[in-house]
Amino acid sequence: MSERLRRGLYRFRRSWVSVLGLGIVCLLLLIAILGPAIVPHPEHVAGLVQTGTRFQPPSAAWWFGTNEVGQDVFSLTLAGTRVSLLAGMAVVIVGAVIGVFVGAIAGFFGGWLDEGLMRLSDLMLTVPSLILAMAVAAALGPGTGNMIFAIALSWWPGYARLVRGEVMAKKEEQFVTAARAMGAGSGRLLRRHVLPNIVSPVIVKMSLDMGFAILTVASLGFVGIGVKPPTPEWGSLLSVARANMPDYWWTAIFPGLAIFLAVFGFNLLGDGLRDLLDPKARR
Amino acid sequence: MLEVEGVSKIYGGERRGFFGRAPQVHALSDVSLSVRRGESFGLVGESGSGKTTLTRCLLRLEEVSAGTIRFDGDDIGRLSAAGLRALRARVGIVFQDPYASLNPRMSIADIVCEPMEIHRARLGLDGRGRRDRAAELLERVGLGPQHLGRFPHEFSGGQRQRIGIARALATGPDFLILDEPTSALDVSVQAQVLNLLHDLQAQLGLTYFFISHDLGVIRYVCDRVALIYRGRLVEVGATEAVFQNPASDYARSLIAAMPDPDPDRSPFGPRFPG
Ligand SMILES: Nc1ncnc2c1ncn2[C@@H]1O[C@H](COP(=O)(O)OP(=O)(O)OP(=O)(O)O)[C@@H](O)[C@H]1O
Ligand SMILES: [Mg+2]
Repeated sequence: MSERLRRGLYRFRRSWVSVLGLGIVCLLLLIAILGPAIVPHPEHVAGLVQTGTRFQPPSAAWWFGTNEVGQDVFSLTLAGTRVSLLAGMAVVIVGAVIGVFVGAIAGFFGGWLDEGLMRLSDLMLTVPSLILAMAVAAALGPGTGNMIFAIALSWWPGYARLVRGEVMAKKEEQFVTAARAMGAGSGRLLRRHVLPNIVSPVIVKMSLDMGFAILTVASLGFVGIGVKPPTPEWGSLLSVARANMPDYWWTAIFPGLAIFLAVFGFNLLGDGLRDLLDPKARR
Repeated sequence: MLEVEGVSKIYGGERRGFFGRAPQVHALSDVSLSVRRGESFGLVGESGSGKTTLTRCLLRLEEVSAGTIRFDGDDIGRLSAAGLRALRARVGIVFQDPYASLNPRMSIADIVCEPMEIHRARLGLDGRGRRDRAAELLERVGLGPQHLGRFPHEFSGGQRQRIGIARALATGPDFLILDEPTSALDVSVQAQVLNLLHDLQAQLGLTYFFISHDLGVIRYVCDRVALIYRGRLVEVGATEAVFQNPASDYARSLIAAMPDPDPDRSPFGPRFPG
């Protein structure tokens, strides 16, 4: 392992795009953690309206300009990082947990359980996440928690398929047969032998999915059923800024760039991680 | 100790889609043999002849299609859950491929301790006791306690096979299934592992069910031998008798194809020196 890991790390460092991805992700995480503490105008983030300085273009004083109520777009975008990243992460984690659970059971036990669970996940896959999220919002009311739940609901089938395939392959391995021959029960076989050997592809998928999850969260914010203002979130910032286009383009372009940067960074990192952890799956 | 009576195993035949059925494979047809306590019983056959299938049936990893298997008089097809657990503690197995049979994510300590954990009610060992026993087992197979924290990839094929043997011995079994334990190893390492197995048998009073496609190894290790061809036993008897007077054409052709049937000149040296 250490030898393989070292070689993987070497490959990772050699590919500058992976390092760039890691850099972007680290930067975003740092901003998310420090959040409101480092923004130049925390009072704007808290909702202060300052109509005297509305629609200032980007300048040395207002790096990203100001919006229709005079708030600093730079501060809002920076503060939005935390919400967007957290929501994206929550979606991916909830989706992965459900998916790993379902996929592991389907792949390990097979038979009608497998049939049933996979039909269910196919069904979920056919419903676009946006529509599902709207339905959930309509049923349970809008809000961040419901939105995460709704997206995760359409997110887990991807993990279930991945994990099912991996589990089906791994459970035929000889060390699993060996454990079975020693009298290990299904729970132990799954927990100790099968699942630990399929972590890598799941981690890779989670990292590749992060960008897209952030994008989905943003699009729900954009259509107005996700995070509610005044909590700053990239999608809802964009949504409000829609009305200011094209004259006051800076109110839209910077939250949009932030989304792009996050998607880009997590995808590069995911590709790099795949090379590192799961070299077989390389395209 | 072990009696196999008229065992058949047919794979496949389950429905596939709306019309088709999976093709049937007769992996074992009407196999009968018995293994006596304390002996080494050899099973020889070419690849695909059903040797592994028989071991899977012995451990009830697979249900037989017909026939019965008795271990110490108990029909293993009718064992309760507790009975099955006891069977799996009393029967150890060493696999052919030392690279695939150890979980790459587990340390040697975890690998050797796992059977003791599964059967802790039977063995009555706490965590400390299990680790001590693991160290002891490693020493017995020619490794040492310094290897406990290592991972399988840090070992050679022969060392891994020793770890596999230590794991198979962990629950204190009296019956060991050895499914081609040396066929993946270099000849020099093969001899070491075979000698280890021989010593262990003498020390622990084990009964061996030894599978191989290498007649030289079988002749070196086994008291009695059965030849299997396409799922059917074609010959059973004392090893020397089978080698001197093969009754079936298949046995004759196998022995004729052996590179050097003289045991004194086999790569493993004289039979059981000392
Ligand atoms: N799960 C299964 N489903 C269908 N057929 C199987 C299955 N397992 C084994 N077989 C078939 O049963 C036959 C016997 O296989 P088995 O693995 O017992 O052979 P073997 O004697 O152990 O061979 P080798 O020396 O290569 O290990 C083969 O034809 C094999 O294809
Ligand atoms: Mg085999």
